[in-house]
Amino acid sequence: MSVPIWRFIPAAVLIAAGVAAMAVSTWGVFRIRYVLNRLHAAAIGDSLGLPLVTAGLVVLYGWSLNTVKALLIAVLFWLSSPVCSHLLSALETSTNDRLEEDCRILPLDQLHSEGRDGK
Amino acid sequence: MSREDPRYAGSRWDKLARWRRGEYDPTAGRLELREPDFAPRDELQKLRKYAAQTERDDRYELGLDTRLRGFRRVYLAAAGLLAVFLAALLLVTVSWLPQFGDYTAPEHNEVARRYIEQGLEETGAVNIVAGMILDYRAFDTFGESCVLFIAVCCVLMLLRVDKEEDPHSMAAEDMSDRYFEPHREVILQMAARVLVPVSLVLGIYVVLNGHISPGGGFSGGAIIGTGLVLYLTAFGFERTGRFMNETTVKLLTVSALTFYCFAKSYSFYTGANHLSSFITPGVPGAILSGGLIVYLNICVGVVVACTMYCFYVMFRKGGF
Repeated sequence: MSVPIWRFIPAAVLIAAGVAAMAVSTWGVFRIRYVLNRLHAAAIGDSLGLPLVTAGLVVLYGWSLNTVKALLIAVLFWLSSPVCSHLLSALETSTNDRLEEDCRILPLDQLHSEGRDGK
Repeated sequence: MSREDPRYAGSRWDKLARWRRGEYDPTAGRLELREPDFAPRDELQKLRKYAAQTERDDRYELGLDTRLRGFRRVYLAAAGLLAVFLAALLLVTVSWLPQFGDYTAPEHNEVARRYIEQGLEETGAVNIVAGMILDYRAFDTFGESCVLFIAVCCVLMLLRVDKEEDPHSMAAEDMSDRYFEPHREVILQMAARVLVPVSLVLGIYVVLNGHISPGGGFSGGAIIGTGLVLYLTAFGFERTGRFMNETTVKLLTVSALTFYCFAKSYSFYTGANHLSSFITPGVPGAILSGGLIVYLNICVGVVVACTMYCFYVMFRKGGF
């Protein structure tokens, strides 16, 4: 199957970016030790790496029923990955006795005011 | 730049070499607030060396008991003999098989050609794989479904919580076990509201289309089971218990397996004796085609979904 060059280059860029994101995510999962920090690394792969690869494949093969299926996979990951992260972090905050040493805890209104100040 | 060069120490290559040896980490101290304490690398190596040494010495058994030492020698010799015998048996059997890649081997021409050339006509399944596993080799698939059923039985035997125990201690155990599970988690429930119907419909689609497109009972049943497990995680046992309880699971699994057994027995019996059968392949590509394949796919899907749900329930609570 021959693919025109104007389609091949963006597809290759998208897939390469997705693979790079997955690589960064994998490195982070192995390098970072603490759960809540690790979640950030793991989320990169689900929320950025996989949809980028999917988008690259969509560009490469054009529109068909399989395209819709591939996009559905990306949507599934966008839906489920944040929920999983949320549940894991909720578990960690409810079980860790030394939570203050591992991360900064601040009330919600303080977080909002920090966001307004652009800190 | 040679390693003796004074500029080498601290250079990029030096850092790379030390990073490879695990002595240097460019991100150390900058990535996290506090890195959890793990055993340092040399400690870990010492531990591994010690474990390997004790294993090599066989310190727990040898040198303490002379009878044990004798038994161990006999045991090793017997095990070696048995292994040699088994290997020889297998090698002799293999030597009777056709050469690997032999063009005249029956598996390379007759069987595969028959499946590909006449599979559509004989089974009515556009998906050749479905035609193979649920028509030509349906007996294998029946065995696989039964293996799932046996696995459920074993898990039930091992993990089931006895109901005649003291109710107070059981309630306390329940509390301590399920303290960390999600309770009325709004975010999870919202996601489940979106995902559960989609996954159930997708699973049913995959099961019903098993003879037309890739898919079938095993994959579709796994999708349905996942949807059920997600629903259970999000909404708890009170909601799922209304339609999936012990009776339902038993009834569904046993009736699916029984139907599979009788339907395929009939089909094999008529096929082997060249009797006329009321099962016809139908029009390939239509949803009700492929003879028994659709119904067998539904059976397999039901068994797989029930198995997954049952496993999850048993591991989580030990009862329905």
